[in-house]
Amino acid sequence: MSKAQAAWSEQRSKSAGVVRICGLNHHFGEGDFRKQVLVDNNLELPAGEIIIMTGPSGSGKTTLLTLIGALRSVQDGSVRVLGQELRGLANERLVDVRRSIGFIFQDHNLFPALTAMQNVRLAVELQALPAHARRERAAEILTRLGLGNRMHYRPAAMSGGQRQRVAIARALVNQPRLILADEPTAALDRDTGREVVNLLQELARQDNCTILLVTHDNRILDVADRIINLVDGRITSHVAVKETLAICQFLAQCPTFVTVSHAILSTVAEKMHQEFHPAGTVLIRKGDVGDKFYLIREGSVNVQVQEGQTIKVLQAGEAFGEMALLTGQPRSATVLAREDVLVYVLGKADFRAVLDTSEPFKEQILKVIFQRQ
Amino acid sequence: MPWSRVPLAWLILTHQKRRFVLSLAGIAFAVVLMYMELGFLSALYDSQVALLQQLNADLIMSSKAKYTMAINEALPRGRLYQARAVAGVADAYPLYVDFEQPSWRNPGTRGSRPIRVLGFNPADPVFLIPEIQARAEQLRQPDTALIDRESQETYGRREQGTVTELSRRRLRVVGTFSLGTDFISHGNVVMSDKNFLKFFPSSRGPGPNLSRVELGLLKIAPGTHPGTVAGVLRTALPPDVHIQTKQEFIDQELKFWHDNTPLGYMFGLGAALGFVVGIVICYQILYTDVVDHLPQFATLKAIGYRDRFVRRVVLHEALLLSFLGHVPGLGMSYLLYGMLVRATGLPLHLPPERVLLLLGLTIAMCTVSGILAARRVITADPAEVFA
Repeated sequence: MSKAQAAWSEQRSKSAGVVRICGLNHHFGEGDFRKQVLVDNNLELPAGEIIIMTGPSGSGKTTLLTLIGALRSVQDGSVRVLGQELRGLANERLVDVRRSIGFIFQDHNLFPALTAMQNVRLAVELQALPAHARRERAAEILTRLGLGNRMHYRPAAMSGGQRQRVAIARALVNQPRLILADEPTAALDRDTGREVVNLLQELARQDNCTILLVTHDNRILDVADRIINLVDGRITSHVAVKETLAICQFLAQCPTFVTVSHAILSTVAEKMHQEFHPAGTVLIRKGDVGDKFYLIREGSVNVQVQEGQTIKVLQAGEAFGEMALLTGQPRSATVLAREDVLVYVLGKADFRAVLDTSEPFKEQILKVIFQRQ
Repeated sequence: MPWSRVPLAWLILTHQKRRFVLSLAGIAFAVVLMYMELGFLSALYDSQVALLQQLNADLIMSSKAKYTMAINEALPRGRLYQARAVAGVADAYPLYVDFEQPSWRNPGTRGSRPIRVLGFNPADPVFLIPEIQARAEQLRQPDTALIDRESQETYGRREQGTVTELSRRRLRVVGTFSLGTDFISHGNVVMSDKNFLKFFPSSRGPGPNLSRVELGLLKIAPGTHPGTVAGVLRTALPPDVHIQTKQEFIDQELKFWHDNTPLGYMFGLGAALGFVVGIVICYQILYTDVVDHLPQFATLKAIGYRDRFVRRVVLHEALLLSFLGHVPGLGMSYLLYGMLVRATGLPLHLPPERVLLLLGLTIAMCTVSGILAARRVITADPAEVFA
């Protein structure tokens, strides 16, 4: 397996979507009062990531969360959760789907009459396990969450953070691959909130479970692998934070971008996506209309002005394809993969948008082009 | 570990001790209401047949025209002799009853009131009340009688040795017994047949003295069957008498009161009101519990519990309430029965069948409330917990 292929398949396996949403619309109300709360949303949540969903109140975050959580029927579009299409599922089957999801709410919603242990056991009792195994599992998760000495306390005898940890234990005890959390830190003070979030992060790492977290709390954004912003029922931005960071670091080392500021780099990185091309694939054909800007992550490409005559070999870190985007002229050369290549791609519109917002970047690009000529 | 599952219903119900105790008190109140109404109903029926229950007879002979103890309708004494001659009849003896003529003077206030007088031959074992049979010999003395201690207060003093007037004739009380009042008599007096004749000579119309008796009490020979002997008697005797087993006679009397009074309706309605009050109280308790725990129940639904689980929890609470509320209700009713027996003389008993019936009603009461209250939790939208 080539290096490029290995890097690519690692990316792919991560995004073997735990949640896949396609063309999702949702309405509330009937007749004249019918109001659209979600508009044509597409979303894929890869395994093992913490995804933070933000957006103003009333933007449809909670609706999206409850649709993913199988708490509402899907009206229009497709929602696949853990490989199960939710659209058209009967209520009884939706309940089954819920059993494989962990839920954490703004309020802990623990039964005041039950001890921490009993509250967690209520969730374990959904599983067909012998009684002692249920008990052990509940004790184990509570201990793991640092509540080993609070197991037989009722919520009233615990602090806010401890209660929320019991609620997290209840969500985790059945080892779900997906956790949905709605403002889990809203009712907590700063330090306790931090503690709870760190805990979630650790759990996502250890158990490779996906956590979708709705929050207004800016203090916890740093744990996100991915940030989704929802406005008026539409996903307006979807930033793979960790991936963007990786691209930024890579860009910073590329000769093309070496003098470009971090702010611009991250703007570029946010808009870029990865593509994998096996050896021999034609990435750009001479005479076509230019639509993409490329940056090689792994592997190398041949640049041919005439068929079979390689005039230049471009290596990892080098960029190509910008000329046609700048000038609007057709492609001046053909570019094909010399070996398997992994490239970062920036679409024409995004490329121009970045150029327009950043005079230094424009100059930089022009300089690169000038030098090449 | 005693529980394999978390006893959710029990824990929710008992979490707030004060509220729990108040809940049980509410249920117990409804239970007591039902016990009281049904107790009164059966006590009133029982008191109508208390005298019949205390008669030492296997078969009862009455005039064909007598359909209730509330009328005086006698039969010729000769029929008793005829009955004695029938195979299977061991003995036959008369009971004289009059509640129309006798009037008892309160020795204190000197006011007179009607009273029921029972006459019998002191040689015959007519009553199952030991106090009467024990004093049978004393009753042979002229102008003597026994009086029912449970006769109404308005009859005045009644202890042994009291001297007063019965139908304007001097009478000495030689003892008391316990029988109880009913709708037609507010007091009872027992005397010998001789005295009965002296006090009420014109009794039973024309013909020889004591020739007409109110009831003929028949004992059957050992080893014979009352129904069979009654059948033989019916063919052997003229059709002016009616032969029934003691139980048939009692049932006929109960049916008369059932058909001719609104007792069943009145007290049945009272018990039904208790039942409804119970439903309201129980519903209030369960509904409050459900509403207080709505986020928790919605959470259970969100994490994958089905509606039927949540409904079961509420119904389980209802069942616990009905059992635990019934116990103090039963205890309280027992105490109240005792108090009422002392105060009114009503024959209030607590037979096991009534306890079972009312336990069943209590369960039904709480189950209905449970079903109503559970509807609220079923409508709870699990998506609401995210709002």
